[in-house]
Amino acid sequence: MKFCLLSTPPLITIHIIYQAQTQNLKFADVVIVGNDSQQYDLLRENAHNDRFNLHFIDDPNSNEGLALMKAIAPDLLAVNVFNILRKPILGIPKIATVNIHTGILPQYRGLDSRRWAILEGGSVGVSAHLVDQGLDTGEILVRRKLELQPGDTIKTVTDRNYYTNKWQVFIEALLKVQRGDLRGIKQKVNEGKQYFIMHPKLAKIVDLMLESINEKNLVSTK
Amino acid sequence: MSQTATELEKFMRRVEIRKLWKGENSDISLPEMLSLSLRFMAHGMESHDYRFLNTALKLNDRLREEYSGTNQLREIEELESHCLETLQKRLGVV
Repeated sequence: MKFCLLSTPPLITIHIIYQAQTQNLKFADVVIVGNDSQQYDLLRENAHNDRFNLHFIDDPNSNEGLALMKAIAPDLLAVNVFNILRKPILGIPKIATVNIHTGILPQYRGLDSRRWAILEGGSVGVSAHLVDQGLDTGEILVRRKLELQPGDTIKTVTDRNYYTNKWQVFIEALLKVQRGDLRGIKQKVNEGKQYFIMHPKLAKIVDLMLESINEKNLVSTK
Repeated sequence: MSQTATELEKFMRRVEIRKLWKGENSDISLPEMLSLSLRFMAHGMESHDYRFLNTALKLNDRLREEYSGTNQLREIEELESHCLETLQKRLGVV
């Protein structure tokens, strides 16, 4: 099965590739959305050593992006980008397109899922899902929640979700598809909402909530 | 969800997706922005759907620049402070 990774930030791209290698999953092509700058030197070295094709494009939905994806002709497209992929590109992978979302679906679609989940008393975590034409609305392949811990700040929650959940769940979902298992949990749109970037004044309240949880924990352990 | 809430949701998504609080993107007038902000704050607090308050806060930042020293701004400031204090009380973080 030919895997292609479409990704943006250099660090997580390297982490995803590393995690895939530990699970014997190989990307034949890695497409970076962004310019071919020095920040990708380590990735270039990886591409040389691990023998995958490395490409750079400005916009995956552009004619250039579509032409590249058609030339690659992946069986499975693994997606870790901020761009919303349009119908033409979604029609190219022969089997599926899988996205990793840093929030629990179907409840938290869109942006700033961690902060919104904390504000609403919901669950923080990640979800890997098939991509359809909606925003984070495709069938859920794998999801994993993150327990909040005493002393947590939004940074520790974000870091732990990244280092212990994000790439692991992503690769687990890709392996599931590789095994031919495309069964997911269908999302009902009314089970969740689309969220947007949280304003700093609400983000400050989330910080206070985490501090408050920590204070309560301190009192209860005395 | 009532018809009004559905319409407000559409307005809210439109404001967020097009970032209508930014001057260069805005295809709504300042009075419309003011009216939307007041409705979003009221609906957000009533429905406990704080996405609406969130969008209102973004609109308010723009309104502060445009309505400096006016009664309209005082109304916005008072309601925004009340909403944020109420939210903190509801969440037990006062």
